[in-house]
Amino acid sequence: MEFDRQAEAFEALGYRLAALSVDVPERLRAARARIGLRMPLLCDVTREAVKGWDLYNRRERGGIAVPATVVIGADGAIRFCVREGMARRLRASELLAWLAQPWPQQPWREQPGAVPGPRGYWPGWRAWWRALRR
Amino acid sequence: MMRVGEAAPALRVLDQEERERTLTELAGPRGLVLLFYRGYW
Repeated sequence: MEFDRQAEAFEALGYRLAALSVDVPERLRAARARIGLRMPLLCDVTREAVKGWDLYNRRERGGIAVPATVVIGADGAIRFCVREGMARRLRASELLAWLAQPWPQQPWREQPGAVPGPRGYWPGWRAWWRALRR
Repeated sequence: MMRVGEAAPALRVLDQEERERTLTELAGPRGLVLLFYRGYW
């Protein structure tokens, strides 16, 4: 949701946003309308994409996506990728700041201090309530 | 896990409206930020 709120800032830098999960389209339509998301939500019900991207967690709920943020350049090459966790999330503002640097950004492995990474995240009560209702 | 500099794997999936989408079509002039998430909202 933080990323979606910053969608215009990403677009101003030339990047669009999309989110992918293994959920079915009906569920995503409902979630998108309920939360008011603007970015497209992609459905990988066959799990082919998450397996192909090596972001498949087979141990939970019959197989779901591993949380991750990936930036793909206009040339089709991966420019940034980071795996996240339930309590470690990448902040949209930090990725925006990194993307706003003059092209080309320094490779993240060579400048670890200058590149965004996931930080501790404490979900709010609404997130806890949603999780408990599942 | 894919590495920076590698070509992104192909992606051809449906969106919430059940339209087929690809990386090329989803990307802006400089690229795409693709968020993988656990789902089951």
